[in-house]
Amino acid sequence: MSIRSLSAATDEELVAAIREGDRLALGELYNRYYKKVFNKCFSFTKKQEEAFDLAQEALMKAFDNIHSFKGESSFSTWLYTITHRHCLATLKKNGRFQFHSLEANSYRDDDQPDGTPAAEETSDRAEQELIMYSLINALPDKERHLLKLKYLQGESVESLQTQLNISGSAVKMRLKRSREKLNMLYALALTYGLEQVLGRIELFTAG
Amino acid sequence: MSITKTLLYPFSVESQYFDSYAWACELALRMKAKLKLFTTSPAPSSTQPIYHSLLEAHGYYLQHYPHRGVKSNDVQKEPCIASGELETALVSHLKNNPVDIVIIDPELSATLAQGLSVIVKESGGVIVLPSIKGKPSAPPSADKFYDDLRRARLYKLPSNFFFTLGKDHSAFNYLRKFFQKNRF
Repeated sequence: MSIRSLSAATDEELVAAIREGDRLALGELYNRYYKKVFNKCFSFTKKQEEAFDLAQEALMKAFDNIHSFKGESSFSTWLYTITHRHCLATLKKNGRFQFHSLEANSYRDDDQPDGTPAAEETSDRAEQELIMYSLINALPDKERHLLKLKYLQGESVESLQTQLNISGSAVKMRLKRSREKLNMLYALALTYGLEQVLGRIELFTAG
Repeated sequence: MSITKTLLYPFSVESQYFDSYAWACELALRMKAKLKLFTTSPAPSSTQPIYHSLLEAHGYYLQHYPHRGVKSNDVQKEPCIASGELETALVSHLKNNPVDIVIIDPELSATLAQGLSVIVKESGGVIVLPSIKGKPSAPPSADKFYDDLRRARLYKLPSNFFFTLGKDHSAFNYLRKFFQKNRF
């Protein structure tokens, strides 16, 4: 593929060229996405060095397994799904992310190669989890902490009552408000986009 | 029991360092060594362009050093972003964190000229890569890695350096030519 046609080629055309051994096509496709992958990883970690590690691992996973891209979704969806799953798997492995309500129907991270059709099918779910995870992280400390204690660590209301030194009804009320706030943010993110909501998070989380 | 070697590659995002970055990655891959990517940043908050640049550099590596059956992610990399002036920070880092080999980009070699003797002293060995004129338009030949090594300036390399590289069986034929040329 010539350099001129590279920039005009669709992602899928580049994938086809890569499969035929075209290294220029690989460079073009990689350059289209590496920053976006980094930014996606950063939305998980909030730390640039960790985002860098995750991004390069996710990119390698994708490009080393590009032969398994079936074209049943767009390349970008496929790549972001791999990125998302890799971020989640790493954070879970490091004990930094686990949210029971999102775990119930979770796909298996390790026993199915990335890039399979199953990975493509999970893209919607992956996107939802990404939104939810980003929003939880954006909540004020108290609310984030409370939700994690209750839903990540499985603390009982009685235990929270003791830990926080407040009444049982106050615990329940705080939990209810935190859940409601999260639900509202989630709806806003689905409507206006995650970045828009995160950019104005103070407006929604004040008070 | 094998002990993982540590290579250190100082770079500046201000320079065109992708070729030497790719070479350093290739060396780390062949030696199964850990590669520390060292640079400086004016402020801790301004590191994002460095990470972006490193990711772009890795894309260049993938494009220009195709491997068969080797996952490019096998290169263990660790970014080290210090503050201050590069040469001073590098020497300070080496004093506190010994490494086996430092790989120096040709463009950076002028910047580090004054400190080169100190860098050699504080490390297990130094490879100053040769200048590469113009960006290669096509993937390099299988011999490019060794061509660059042959033209590099080598200082105090560990005695087992070539032995380690020699474990890379795919390079056997070229190594034979390399040793013949240099009449070791």
